[in-house]
Amino acid sequence: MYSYIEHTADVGIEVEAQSLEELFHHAADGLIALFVDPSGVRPRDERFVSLTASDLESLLFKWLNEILFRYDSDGFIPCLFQDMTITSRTDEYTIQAKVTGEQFDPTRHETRTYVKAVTFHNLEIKTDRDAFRSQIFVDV
Amino acid sequence: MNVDAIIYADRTLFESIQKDETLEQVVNVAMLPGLVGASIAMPDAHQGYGFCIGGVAASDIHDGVVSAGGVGFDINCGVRLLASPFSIKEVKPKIRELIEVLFRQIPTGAGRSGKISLSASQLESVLNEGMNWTIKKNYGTDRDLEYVEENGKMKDADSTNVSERAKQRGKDQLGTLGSGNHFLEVQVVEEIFDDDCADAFGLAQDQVVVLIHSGSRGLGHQVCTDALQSMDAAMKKYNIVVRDRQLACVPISSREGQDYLHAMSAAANFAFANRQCITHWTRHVFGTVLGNGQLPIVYDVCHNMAKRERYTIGGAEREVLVHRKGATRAFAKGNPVLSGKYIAHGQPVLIPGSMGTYSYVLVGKELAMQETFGSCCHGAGRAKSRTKAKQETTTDQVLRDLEHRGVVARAQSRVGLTEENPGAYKDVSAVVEVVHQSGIAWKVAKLKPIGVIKG
Repeated sequence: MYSYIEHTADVGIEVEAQSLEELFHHAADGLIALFVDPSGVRPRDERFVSLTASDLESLLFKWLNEILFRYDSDGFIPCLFQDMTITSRTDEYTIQAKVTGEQFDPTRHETRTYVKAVTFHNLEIKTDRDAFRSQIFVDV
Repeated sequence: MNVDAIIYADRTLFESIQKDETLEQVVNVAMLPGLVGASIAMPDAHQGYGFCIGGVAASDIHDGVVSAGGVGFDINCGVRLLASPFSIKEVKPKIRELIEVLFRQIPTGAGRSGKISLSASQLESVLNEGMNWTIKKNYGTDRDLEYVEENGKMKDADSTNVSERAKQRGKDQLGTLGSGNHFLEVQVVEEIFDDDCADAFGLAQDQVVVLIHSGSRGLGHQVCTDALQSMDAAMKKYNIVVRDRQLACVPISSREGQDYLHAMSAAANFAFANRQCITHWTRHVFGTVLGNGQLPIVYDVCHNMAKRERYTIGGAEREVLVHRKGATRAFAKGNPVLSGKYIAHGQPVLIPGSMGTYSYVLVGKELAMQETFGSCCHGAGRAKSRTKAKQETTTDQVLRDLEHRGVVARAQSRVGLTEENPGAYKDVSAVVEVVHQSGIAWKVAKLKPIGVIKG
């Protein structure tokens, strides 16, 4: 699940999950709900995402910025994440996922806050017994 | 700390600054390698991510660092002031029509595209030539270039350092205002504090002016995002450790540092061109609605930028890279980079207030050159989070409040209106008063809004 944190100029997303994949999923949900009302988005187009980074926080940063990039350049809004895996090899973490959504349609989709970027500010993924937690701040 | 942290504020503003992480962020910046002088916060400072907003930090050009977060995601977010030939008496009867047509003609909002779709080669030209590209396309005249910082073109821009991703985001976004705290305001000069300067700047009592606040849009945001990742990955090899990853930085002279500066300059050029397109359409609307579209640029200033500049520090002249993140250049008189008629007075400094409140024109003074690396505040500065701002008011209340203040408003986003309501910001008059009393920039004119369009 996700919730929003107060920040003077920007917005923070607080995420808690039972697995890394769920954490990345909820973080994406929290980000998308910032810039568009997700209730009107339909699962029409499928994309495949594969990203690597040297650590988990960088991977989360890349993952969320990928979602932003696809929306801002292409108008693509995800609504469904499937087959998500996060794996690691020496010095490298990889996320792969099937991402389904549709193109932004101004007649059906209500835009909310324009998100400029995801930041590294205080970005940490913490594990606490069985739970994974993270805070992500975005520039709006 | 490697240098001191200096805060410009009165008691009330300092109490506000203490409520969030601003002070910690100013101190974190003071610990960066190669910083000179001081890590400075202006009276509008508030918590950012890494660097505070309203911060100034200068690095030695030879052994200092450059930080993409010290410029911010919205590279060359800035403000432009246009003078009109009209008085308030002439515009007031037509303000609703004027605002309505401006709202229709100037793309605003969180939508991704506007009226201009650039080909790949056109975008390359915009990134390398900045405002010059728009002048060639008849979106203005050569005179416009004279009254813009850097004459509308950062000369070390190199579009080859801008990623394909950034270009994809930017190709349809030229000539868009954006959203959030970006706006176009029609204002009236309500009070003149310095007759000589106002006259030199082309401002007169009761004159109608236009203030435009916009930046480099998705292209700039992506350039910063790309650079953050590059700098974050590179820091280890330069033995740099920072307290907040958003402070990621590399030596200015490094390949990563130079690549960033070339890309940052290209994104800055996109923003200059962006504001010129909006200027062109604004002139067209004034021509259509009021019969005269002659709106010369008073000045155009950058809020988020890194510039190579020279200052006397400890008795010796040094070249530094000045990071201004939510801060405005405020050069004093005599500086040769200023356009002809401003050299005798100093640089116009444009300070937008929050929605519905006053904006100010100041002039840069010599004390800024001595104390703040030729820098000044950039606006009112946020005092409340967007969540809190939304909770405390409604869109209808904000619109009623604006009407009560005599401001006709059109906005794409109803949520945006509540997030940007004046109660969410510090008192811009108090911010400007601190700057004036500190002597780094002096008040020239106070501008009152009569109409606004927003995203």
